Amino acid sequence: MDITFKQVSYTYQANSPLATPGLRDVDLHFASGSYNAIIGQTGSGKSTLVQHLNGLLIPTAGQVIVGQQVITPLTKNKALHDLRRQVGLVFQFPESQLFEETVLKDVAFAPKNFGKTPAEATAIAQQALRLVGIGPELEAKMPFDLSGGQMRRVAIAGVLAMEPEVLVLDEPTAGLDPVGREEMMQLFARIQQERQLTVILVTHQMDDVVRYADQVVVMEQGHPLKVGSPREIFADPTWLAAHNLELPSTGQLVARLQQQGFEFTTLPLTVPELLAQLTPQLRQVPVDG
Amino acid sequence: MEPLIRLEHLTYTYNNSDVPALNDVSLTIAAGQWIAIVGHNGSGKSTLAKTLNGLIEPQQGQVYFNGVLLDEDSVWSIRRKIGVVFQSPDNQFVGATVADDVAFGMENNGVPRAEMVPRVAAALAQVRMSDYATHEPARLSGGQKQRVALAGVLAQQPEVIILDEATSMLDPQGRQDVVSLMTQLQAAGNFTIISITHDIDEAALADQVILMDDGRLIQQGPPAAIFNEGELLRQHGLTVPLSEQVRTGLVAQHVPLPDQYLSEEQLVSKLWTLHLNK
Amino acid sequence: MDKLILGRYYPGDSFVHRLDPRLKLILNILFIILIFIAQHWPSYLLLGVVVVASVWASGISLSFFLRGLRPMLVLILFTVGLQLFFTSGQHVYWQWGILSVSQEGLINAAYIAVRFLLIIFMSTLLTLTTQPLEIADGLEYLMKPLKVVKFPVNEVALMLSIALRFVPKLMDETTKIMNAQRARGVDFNNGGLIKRAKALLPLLIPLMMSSIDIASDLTTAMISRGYRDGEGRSRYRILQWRPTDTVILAASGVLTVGLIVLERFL
Repeated sequence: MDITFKQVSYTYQANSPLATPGLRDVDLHFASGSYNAIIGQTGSGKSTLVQHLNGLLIPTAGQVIVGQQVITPLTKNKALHDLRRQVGLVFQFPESQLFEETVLKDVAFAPKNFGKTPAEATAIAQQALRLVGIGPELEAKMPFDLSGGQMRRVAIAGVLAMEPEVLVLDEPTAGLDPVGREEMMQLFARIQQERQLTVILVTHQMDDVVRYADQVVVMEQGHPLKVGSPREIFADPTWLAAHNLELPSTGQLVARLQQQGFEFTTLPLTVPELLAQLTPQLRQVPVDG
Repeated sequence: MEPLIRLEHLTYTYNNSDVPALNDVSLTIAAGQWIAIVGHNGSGKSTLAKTLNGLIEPQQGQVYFNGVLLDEDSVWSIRRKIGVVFQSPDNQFVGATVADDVAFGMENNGVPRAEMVPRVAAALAQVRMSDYATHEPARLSGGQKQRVALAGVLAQQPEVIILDEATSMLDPQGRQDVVSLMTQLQAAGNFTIISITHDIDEAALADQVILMDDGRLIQQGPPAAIFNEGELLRQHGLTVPLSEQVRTGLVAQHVPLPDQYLSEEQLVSKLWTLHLNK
Repeated sequence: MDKLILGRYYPGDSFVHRLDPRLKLILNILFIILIFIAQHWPSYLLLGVVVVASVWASGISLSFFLRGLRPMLVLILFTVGLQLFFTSGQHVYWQWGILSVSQEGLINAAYIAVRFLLIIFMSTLLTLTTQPLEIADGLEYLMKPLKVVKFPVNEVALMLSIALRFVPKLMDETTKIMNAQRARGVDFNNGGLIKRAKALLPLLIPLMMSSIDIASDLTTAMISRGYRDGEGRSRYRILQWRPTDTVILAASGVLTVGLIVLERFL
C-alpha cells in the first residue's frame, strides 16, 4: 500500500496559547512493500509522524494519502475505521496495552472490533500467535502471567491479527536483550516478506537500519531533513555528527582505521563489508598448499 | 584482606516460580573496582543485585558487606552505603522537583537541613544538572532523569553504586551521558561500581565481568578473558563485541593476529603494524 | 472538562502567590466560618469586597474566574432551586403540589447563591495561586497536632505529594494506552452509553496494571534509598513564614472581629 505525505503540518494544541509545532511541511513517499526506517533524536517528530499513518492524528495542514484514502484536516473520525485496520501500529512497550483475561482473547480483540465473527477472530488470533512464536499452551493464560518478552510478542500478535497491509513499528525492541532484539527484528523481516507488507520502523538502532531498511528518513524538528538509502544516509560521518546521529557500530572503527592510513572506497556498514575491504590491505600468512 | 562484598552460596526462588532465579551463587567483589554483571533478560543478574542491599532475602546463603553479615540488624546501615540507580527513569523519581528528589535519601537518614543544602547542590553539579534544580520531573528527558537519580545516590556518599540496567531505556544520547558520568566517577576513584547490563560495549569498560545465566554464575574475569569466548557469549544470549567479531573474521582470513580479545584501540594499533602500504 | 478551573494552578508571582500556603489554608477555613457567621446583607457586601480585593491582588483577571464558574453553574442552580421551591413560608407567591415559592424561599435561595459563590471564589483562588506541592506541605504542617492521636501525618503528606507527582505521568500513560487501543479499533467517542462504558475496560485495566508496576518500582526505589516511615526523617523543603504573612493574618483577625460586631448591631 503506497503512502504519500503532501505538505503535511501538524500543530499540537492548535489555536491555543500552548500551540507547539509537531510537524512542518512534510513531503514523503513510502512505496508499497518497502521497508522504511525513520531516525532522528528524541523529540524530532518521529512519533508524531507515524501517528498520522492511521489517523490517530489528523494533519492541521496538507494531506496524507494511504492507499485510496485521503486524510485532510477536515477528515472525520468515523471515516478512519477502515484505515485503522489496514495500518497496524505497534507502539513502544506495546505490552502495556494488554487487558483481556486470556492471551487468545487479547489477540482476538482487534479482529472482533473490525467486524470478524468470534470464530473467525479466534482463528486469526491463533494464526497470529503462531507467527510470533507463542504456542497453544499459552493461549489460555493471563497475559500478565507471561514473561516480559512473551508479553511483547502477544501484543505484537494483537496488531498482526488485524491483518494490516502497513506495519508501523515504534522502537519495537526497546528494553529487549541482544538476542531478543535480533529475534524480533528477524520476525518482522520474515512477516514483511511473507505478507508483502509496507513497514515503517522508528528506531535508534543504526545497525538495524543498515540491515533491514530500503529507505531512511532523517527527522529533525518536525521536518524530514534527508531521505535516501542507508548507504546515502551514512555516507557522510561529519554530517551525521553535526545532527547528533550515530553511525552503525562499524562506523567508529572505520574512522579509527582511516586515521591510521587505511583506505575505504565506500563506507563499510556491516562486518562482512568491513572485512572484505580490510583484508586486501593487510599482510596475510601464506597458507600451505 | 576481606573483600568489600562477599556472596556465599546464594539461592533464591521467586514466589510465583519453580525455577530458582539464583542458584548457588558465590563471588567476591574488591573495593574500587568497576564490575559488570552481564546476562540476557531473566538470567538472574538483577535478582543478584537486589540481594546486595537486602531488597531480596535469599532462601539460602549469606551476603557480607565489609565483613559484616547482612541481616535484619545491619541491613539499614548497609543500604546507606549502597546506592542504586534503577531501570525506569520515571518510577524511581520520588521528589516533586529535582532538588527534592536528590534530597530524599538524606531526609530518610535524618541528615540536618544545613548539611543537605550544600550536598544537594554538589551532587547536582557532579551530574551537570544544577540548572534544573527547581524543575519538575515531567519536563526532563530520560537521560536527565537518570542523572538526577545518580545525583540522589551521590548525595548519600555511598561506597558502592549499583546501576541496575540504568541505561537500557534511554536513547543513545542519554545512554552516552550516563556512561560518560560513570567513567568519570570511576576515574575519581572513590566508588565501587556494579553495572548490571546486557550491553556488551558498556561491559567492556569494566575491570571485571561476571557472566550469569539460569541463575548461575557462568564465568567471572577481566573483559579480555570473557570476550575471548565469542561462542560462550552467544550461547548465553549476548552479542560479541565488534572488535572481537572483526578479529576472528581476520584470523579466518589468515591475518596474523594474537589469539585473544583486543579492544578496538588495541586492534587498530595491531592492524597498523600489518598494513601493506605503510 | 478543560474549562473547570477549581483545583488548577495558575503560574504567577503575585502578592497572593507568594503568601505562605499555611496562611492561605487557614484563611480559607476562616473565610468559610465567616460566611456562616454572616446573616445580613451588609456582612455579605463586606466579604464580597474582600473576595474582589483578593482576586485583584492575585493578578488573575476576574473574567477568568467567571468563565471558570460556568461548569459549576449547574450545581449552584440545583442548590438554589432546592431552597427556592422547598422552603415553606408565609407569603406564598406560587404553589404547585409540594413545590412553592415563598418570600422566605426567595431570600434563602439568594443567601445560598451568594454563600456558594463567595466560597467557590475563595477556594479557587487558593488552588490557582498555590502549587499542589505547597498545599501538601501546608496541610502536613497544619495537621501536626493530629500526631498526638497517632495520625500518620508525615506518611499522609508524603503520599499526597507522590500522588501529585505522578499525575502527569499517569496522564501520559492514559493517552498512550488510548492511542494503542484506538489503533486496535476501539472507538471511545461514539456509540451508546453501554458501548462507551465497555470501551473503557481496555483503557482502565492496562492503566491499573501500569499503576501497580509504578507502585512496585517506586517502593523498591524508596526502600533502597533508606525510607522506613515518617519518623526520624529530616526535611529539605521548608516553609518560610514572612512578616507579610503575619500582617495579613492580623488583618484577617480584625476583619473577623469587625464582622462579629457588625452582626451584633444589625
